[in-house]
Amino acid sequence: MPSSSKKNHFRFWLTVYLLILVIQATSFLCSFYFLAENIRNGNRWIAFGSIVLLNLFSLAAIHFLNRKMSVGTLGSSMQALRTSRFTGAFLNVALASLVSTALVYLIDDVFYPTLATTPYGPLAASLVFLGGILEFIFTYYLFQGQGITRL
Amino acid sequence: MKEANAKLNRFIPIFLTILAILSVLPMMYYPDPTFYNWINSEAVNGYYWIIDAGIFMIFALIVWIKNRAEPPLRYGLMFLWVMLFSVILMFIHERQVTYGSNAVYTLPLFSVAIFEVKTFYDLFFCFAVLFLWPYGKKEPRYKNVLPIAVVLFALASVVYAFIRGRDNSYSYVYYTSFFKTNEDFGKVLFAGCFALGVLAYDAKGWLRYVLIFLGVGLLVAAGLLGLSITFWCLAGASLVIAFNLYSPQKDRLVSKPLKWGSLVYGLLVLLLALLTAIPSALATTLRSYFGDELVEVFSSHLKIWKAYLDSISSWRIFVGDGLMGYYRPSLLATGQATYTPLQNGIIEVYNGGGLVYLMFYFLAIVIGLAKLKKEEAHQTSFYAIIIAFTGAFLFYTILTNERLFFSSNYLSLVVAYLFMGYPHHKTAEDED
Repeated sequence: MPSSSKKNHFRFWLTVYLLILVIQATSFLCSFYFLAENIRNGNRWIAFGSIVLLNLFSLAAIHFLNRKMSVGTLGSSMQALRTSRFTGAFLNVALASLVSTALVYLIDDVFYPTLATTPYGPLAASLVFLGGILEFIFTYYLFQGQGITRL
Repeated sequence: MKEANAKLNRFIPIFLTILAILSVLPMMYYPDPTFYNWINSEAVNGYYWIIDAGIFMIFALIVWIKNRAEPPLRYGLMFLWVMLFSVILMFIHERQVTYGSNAVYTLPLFSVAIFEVKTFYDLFFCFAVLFLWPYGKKEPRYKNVLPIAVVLFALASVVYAFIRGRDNSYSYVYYTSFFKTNEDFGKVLFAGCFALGVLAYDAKGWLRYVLIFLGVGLLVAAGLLGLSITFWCLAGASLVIAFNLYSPQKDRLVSKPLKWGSLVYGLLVLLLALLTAIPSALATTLRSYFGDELVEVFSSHLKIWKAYLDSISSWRIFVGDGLMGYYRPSLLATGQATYTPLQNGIIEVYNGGGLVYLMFYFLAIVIGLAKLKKEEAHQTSFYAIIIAFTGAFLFYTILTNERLFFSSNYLSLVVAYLFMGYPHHKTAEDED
């Protein structure tokens, strides 16, 4: 395979990998948010169920993608990213937090606004922060790769 | 060129002393409140802060450029991303809110601008503490200037507190010294004790015992003056240090009298804690000195935290509420836009940028700890002093608006310098 084609091949899979990762992180954070809203007000079960389902699918996808990105030429090209896994993990959570903001705004404020009668801020902030920490740890270890290329 | 850099780095502690003086001036209420009222007035306060921050930034930039200091790429990227994130937040955070029966409140533009500038300044301050002040460690000639100034100020505050006497408008023991509230007084005392800890480590022979005696004296004074938050923070920190001194270690700087003294001290603090906790006539008296302020502050601040956290919802959970977070609770409760300080460093960080800021705050502390461990962990006693006092300071972060690395308030500044910019440069050979 010519080197330019190799580069394009890697760029394509890297984009897919990062995209799925952000979707996974976003759905993970949002599921904690909707869980808090459900516990306090019981009004977001459909949103919570859908987002958890999306999270499970993206988790499965990221598992297979990570395996693919850990072998062969893709695996060796991923080494540069793996050495910056600390920053990578932080950037992932930060980006997911922004996307979650947009998603929750669309669901809670634009498409399906319902009146939350009981304040859920304290619980939601705690759960979302816990989710952020867990996601950071998950991404950090995910970026270590698998098999022979694992750092 | 190298000599010029050495002079510049040598100047870092002196510059931070000037900055500490600038940060303490707006706290001075007594003997004459005229200056306090002027400097804290709406017209002056913002400009005073801009001058203060401007001086800091110019000096930090000079240190950065002259030393050609480059943080590791991973940390540089993180700071860059958080800066970018803060820019995005400027457009996300609300500046207008509808409350009650369709009444609208809009934040003043000047306040918003100051808030945003403060956010960026805090980030730069954190960067400076982590990556620029450690250059001062290479040239430690004037490293004791700031600690000595801090100790002298604490001692003067204690003396003046006893001269001025107690504020009788409170049901419990309440002394304010030069300050409007005893919270500020407590912070000055805490900073003084921390500084005495590192100075005692640095001193030799009898001077070390004098400094330890002064440190214990400040702790006792904190108790007698009813500064229970400061007292228990200092008691906790000193217990950790006492435990470290008593435990078997290779640090030859630890002498036998110091070891036995630390054991007796530890037992005395435990005895006092038990006497205060177990209900009795004595406990009632002790609590007015060692407990009432803590309970009062905690219960009043708890209401503020609850009101703030109850007021945020929807997407604000992820990115905080920005400046509106200081007004929203009062708007929802009374319909009046009253600026309410959140009285909790962690909640303030969260309010500024939500999950990302909060994670960045803890990661910055982890980065700082890792750097400290790498440079100072082999000096067990020094390491214990720094960790113990900084750990106790985190209690202040929970109860007040202090933030480690992310605030240039008096106490935060002193703790940040002693944590990241103060070198031990003390070996057993030096002692001999």
